[in-house]
Formats: sequence, C-alpha cells, structure tokens
Amino acid sequence: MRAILLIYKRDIRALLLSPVFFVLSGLCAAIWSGAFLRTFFAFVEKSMLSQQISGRPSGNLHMEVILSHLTWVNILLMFIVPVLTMKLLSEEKRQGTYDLLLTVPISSTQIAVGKYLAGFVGALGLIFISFLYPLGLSLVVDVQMGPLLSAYLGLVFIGSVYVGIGIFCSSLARSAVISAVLAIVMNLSIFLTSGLSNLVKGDGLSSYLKQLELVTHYWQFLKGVASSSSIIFFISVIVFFIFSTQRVIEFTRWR
Amino acid sequence: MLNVKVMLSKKKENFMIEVKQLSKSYSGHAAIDDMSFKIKKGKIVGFLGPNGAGKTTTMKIITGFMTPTSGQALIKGLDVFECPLEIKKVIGYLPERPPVYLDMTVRSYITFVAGLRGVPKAELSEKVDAAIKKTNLQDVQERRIEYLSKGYQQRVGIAQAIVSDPEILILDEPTVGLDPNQVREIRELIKSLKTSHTVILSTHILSEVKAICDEVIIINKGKIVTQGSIDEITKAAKAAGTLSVQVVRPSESVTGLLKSVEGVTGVALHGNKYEISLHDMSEDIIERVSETLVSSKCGLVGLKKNEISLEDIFIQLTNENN
Repeated sequence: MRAILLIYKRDIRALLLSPVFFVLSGLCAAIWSGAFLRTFFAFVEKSMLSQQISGRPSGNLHMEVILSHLTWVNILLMFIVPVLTMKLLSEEKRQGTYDLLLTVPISSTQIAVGKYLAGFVGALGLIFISFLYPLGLSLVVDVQMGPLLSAYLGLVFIGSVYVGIGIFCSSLARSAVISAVLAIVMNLSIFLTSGLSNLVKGDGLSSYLKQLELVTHYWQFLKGVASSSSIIFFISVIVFFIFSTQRVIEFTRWR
Repeated sequence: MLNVKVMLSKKKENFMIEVKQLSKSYSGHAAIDDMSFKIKKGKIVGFLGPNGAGKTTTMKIITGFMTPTSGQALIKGLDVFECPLEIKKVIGYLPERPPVYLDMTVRSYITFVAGLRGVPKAELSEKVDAAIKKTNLQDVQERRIEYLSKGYQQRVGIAQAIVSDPEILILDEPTVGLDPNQVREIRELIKSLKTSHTVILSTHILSEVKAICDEVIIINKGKIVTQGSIDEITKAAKAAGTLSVQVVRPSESVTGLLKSVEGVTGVALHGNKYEISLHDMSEDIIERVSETLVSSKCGLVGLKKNEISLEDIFIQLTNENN
C-alpha cells in the first residue's frame, strides 16, 4: 500500500506541477464555457418562444442543456485524458527510471495501480471543472440533482476507462506522443463502434453484444439510471486495463 | 517453502552472489553465454570488458530486472527469478544511466527511492541525510535534478543506490561522467563500503579495477575470459613482462643465445632493439639475460623492464577470440 501511495504521490505531483495540466484545463474550460452558454441561451429562447405560443414553457433542461454539456465534456476527455496519462509509463522508459521501478522491492501491480490512481485523480480534476457549469446553473434555475449526479457518475466511469486505456497505451510505447495517439484512437473507437451490435442478425445475439458496448451503459447513466450491472461492467473494464498494464510491465522482464 | 530455502542457503558456503550457467539471448543473438561465477560477502568485484561484452545484461539479470534465457542467479541462496521481492530488498542498483526523475529535487527523489526500498518511516530522514552526506550532495539537495550537471546526476544515482544500506551494491559504470576529483571521492566511497557490503561494479577503465577491486571478472563477447584476484590474473598471463634491450651489434647468434636462456619465453628483434618476453620478472632471469648479453659482446647500451599491466592482459584476452 505504501508503495502504491508513493508512486501515486510522485506522479500526481509531477502532473499537477507541470504546465501541461493547467494549459489543458484552461483550454477545456474555455471550450466548455462557450458551448455551455450557447446551448443554455438557445434553450431559454426556445422555452420563452413556446411560452408565447402555447402559454407554457417547454423543454427538458437535463436532456437539452446538461446532456449537451456532457457531450462536450466527454469529447474533450477523449482527447485530453490521453495527454495527461501519456507520460506515466513511457516517460519512465525514456528517462531510464523504469530500471529503478523494476529493481526496487515493489510489484508490477503496485506500479500499475499507483500510476492509475495518479491518472484517475488528474481526470477527476478535469471532470470537477466541468461540474462547475451545471452547479452554477443550479444557482439560477431549478436543476434536478438526481439525473445530474447519475450522469456525472457515468462521466466519471467513462473517464476512468479513458485513464485505463491511457495507462495501458503508455505502457506499450516508449514515446509519449505515440502512446497518446494510440489512446485517443482507442477512446474514439469506443464511440465509433457503438451500434455495431445492431448489424448482427438475430435479436438474442444482438442484445447480448449490445451489453458489451460501453456506450450502452454510459447512456443508462446519462438517462438517470445508475444500475449496479452498469457499475460492475465499468469497473471490470477498468480492472481489465490495469491488469493488462501490469502484464505489459511484467513482460518487459522477459525481453 | 521459503524457510526451507533459507535453511539450505545457510548450509552452503557464504556466497553472496552465485551465478550458474547463465545465458541470455536477444532474438537469436547471445548477449551472455554460459556464465558462472561466485562472489563472497564483503568483496568488491570488477566486471571488466569491452563495450557490448554483456556486463550490463549480467547485472540486469542479477538485479531481477530481466529474466535469463537459461541458467540461474542466486542472491544469498535465493533464486532471483523465484523470489524477486526478497532479493530486491538487499540490492542497491545503479543502472548505466542514473535513474533520476528530472522534475524532482535531489532530496525528495532520494526520499522517494528510500520509501520504495522499504526504509521505515522513522529512519527515513536519517538515512537520506546519510546518503546525501556520503555522496557530497548537501549543497544541491534542494535543487531540481534537471538543473544538475552530469557528474552531480551520477552522484544522485549513487546516493539512491546506497540509501537503504543494501547488503549488495551493483554499480554499472559508477564513475562515468565524473571529474577526476569526483572519481577519487567515489572510489573512496566504494572502498569504504567494503566491509559491510558486497559490491559488483562494471567498468572498462582498468585503473579503476586496480584501484578498488579485490577480484576481477573479465568478460568478452558474453563469456568469462578469466576471473580471480588481480595478482592471480597477472601471474596466470602467458608472459609476466618483457625486457627492452638496446644493443649496438644485433645478430642471429645473439638471438639464438637469448632464446636458450632459461625463463625466456620469446625474443623479437626490431632494428637494434630486442623485445624479450620473460616467464616471470624474477631477478635471476633478468640477471641471466644480462650476463648472456654482456658475454656475447653485442654492445649492450640499454635495458628496460616492462612489467605486464592489466591493460596488456585485457588486450591479450579480449583480442584472442577475434
């Protein structure tokens, strides 16, 4: 446990003290601000228009404003999280500290978990920044907290998967840039391959495959349904990537 | 299971490091080939060999960083491969390139490594202080490592290797990149560790081996060419030394006479200079050679003793297989 914490602490310090994190957070905040205000004002306009016509406001704040915001957050996380995690293991190899980690009395599992935690907390920081928008909104209008929190739980889970993918890619490559690109491609493919299960003939098989798509479970959270099966599915995907990372670290000894 | 192994290891003689028929090949190319040696507690052993001889690979296997293709490495009787965590606890390792995080300060880095090596929290600052003091890093301990010179970074690398006070130190070219004063300091430091630690260091600087090592293992192309104390190796060499003799009138008959002298192993003539190889550098042999030269009336005008150096042996041994 001590070793995990030591590695976590070192990496989170390195991450938070590097200008990269701040520049990226700033970039995210700028994009989210622009997008959030636009969708919110559009929503208000539409709502007022409908009040003039039918006499009562229409529209669903959660579905139209918050989910649109979450889409933006998700898209940026897909690109930004790999940049946060790209150096976690590849940089160790490049600067020769990998030799140190593999010759001190700690296990490769401890290395993988410590690194994962650092990446996770970094991603959590970004998600927290994005959470300030709906939080601010709740000060001026009535926001339904239940669906909001459920949607954010989903976002934390999908973000954790990105961190897992990022760490795994970082363990594969010696170059940080290559690991980031690889991770971005894998993150995108989660969404690009969603719906492939619809192409399979036979309802039974198709619905099984649908359960294997991360997007299906992510959508459950966005709709306000935080089911235990989705939570378990997300956790197993994350554990799978941490385990794969541990295997890759272990494999370096065999070359 | 572990207890049985520990008991077994106690029964054996007190070898700290034991390497048995170790081989490692990368995609068909053998980096080290059937290597065996034993190292006793408290010795400083020098790994000597040209670049690419397999020194680093051997060290990486002993530290558990790498697995061998075949063979076995034992640390205190424990197999490196089977009990990696146990053996890593007793080894301090300095890789070829100092394994430093450039974005950390010297002190926080050494504290970090000490923690990873399992130094108890209560002793942490005391041990870190000691390591910083031994490597003379007090003045730069709050500086970020990226702003330090190569020599200082190397010393930080040595500090991290010794911080947990490990029983075994494995140092891959510890004095590379240091200035002559620092080289001397580091050699003194390594020598001072001798009694309580077992040290393996690799180098291709021969004077370094002479200055600090008790034993030498000379490696070439992945194989051990020779091993033993420096005296033993020097004695075992084909010729212990040569005499350079300058004469006024060299001739075939003088060469023949010299060859027949007892203890002379070879005679070569270059112009009016003889290069005479001797079995050993004892005074009897040299006296016999000089008597022969004087009585042959060839006009002896110069005689110089050249004792064979580790350099010569090294060159002899590492070129033999070419």
